[in-house]
Amino acid sequence: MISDFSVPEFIFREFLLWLLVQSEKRDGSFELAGEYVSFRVEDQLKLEGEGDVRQTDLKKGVPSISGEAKSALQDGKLPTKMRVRLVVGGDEYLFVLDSKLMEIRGVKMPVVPLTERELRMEQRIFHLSQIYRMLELLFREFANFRLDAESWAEQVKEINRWLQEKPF
Amino acid sequence: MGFLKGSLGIKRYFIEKPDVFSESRDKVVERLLDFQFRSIEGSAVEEAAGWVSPFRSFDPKITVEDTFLDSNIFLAMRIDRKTVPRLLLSNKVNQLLDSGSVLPKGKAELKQLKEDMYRELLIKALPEPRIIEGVIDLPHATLYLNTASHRVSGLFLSLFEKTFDILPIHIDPTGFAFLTLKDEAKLQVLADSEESCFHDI
Repeated sequence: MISDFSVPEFIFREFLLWLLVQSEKRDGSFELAGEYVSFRVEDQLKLEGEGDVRQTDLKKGVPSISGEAKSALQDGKLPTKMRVRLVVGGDEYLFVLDSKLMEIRGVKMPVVPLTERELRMEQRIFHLSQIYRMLELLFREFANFRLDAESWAEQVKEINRWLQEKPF
Repeated sequence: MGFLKGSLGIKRYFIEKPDVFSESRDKVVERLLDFQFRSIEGSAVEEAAGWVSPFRSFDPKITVEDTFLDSNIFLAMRIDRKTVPRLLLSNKVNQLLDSGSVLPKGKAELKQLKEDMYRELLIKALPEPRIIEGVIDLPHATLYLNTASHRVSGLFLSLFEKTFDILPIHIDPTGFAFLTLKDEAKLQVLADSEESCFHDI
């Protein structure tokens, strides 16, 4: 399925950073394949990098707009885990996105008010594939910028400007 | 069952050749029954894994109705694991030595004595069961595994391979990028990219 090369992990950390900044700048609103979705970073953000303190764990409150998060980012750390609230067409999902494995954990999805197990299972699988579909659409948007040097340079400037803004 | 309620920790795998699941449903269940869970209670076995019914986790009987739900295949692996606490083992060995009923001559005999005691205690130990669930989304040739543990997912995949003669491919970050971009050239550019600098610009 896949060639014998691998995409380095920093690409996925950059993806998480881009998601974090975009969700703050767009107030969580994204248009993906003609659909409006809400993507917000919730109460958990882990940043990792080099330096004396290599890991910053921010929990509770609103880590994405905190001074601690911006300070860690300015120190060169990048997000490796974040808790996300995704809303697609009225369906709300909560999950932790991990850049190292690109896996989702602690996934909470809408309660399926059906008694028949076949239908319940079908709904659960639909919701799971919905989360992955949205993540793939978001990654595609990120990759479009990342693959074009000029567009990505603009994105980097935008991220840097956001980092310089004073936290609330 | 966990997949139908509560929060999930998901690992995703791609099944390259899902032809085996196009066999008759009975045949698929037969394959599962070939590797159904067998209890290790009362035996000197540390760990055992096998398939059980997804809806009756402690029932090794598996039926087509439990396994095939619309276009999904529902799997449940039970792993039983027994442990003998090291402290208990050394205590029992010391008791035996103190009683004078055995007098091991040299290190080899002492080692054998410990191994025999370990087996004896293992037979008596109660297994700790765990159920790991997986769902095959056939239209997308995708296996979703409800576990975050590498060890447990490895055991599940090993049992899956023995049962169906295919090994699902973990959708790792590169796999995720590949499935998203569907373009090796773009993937190669990402692979060759240099890290961006977001600070001190």
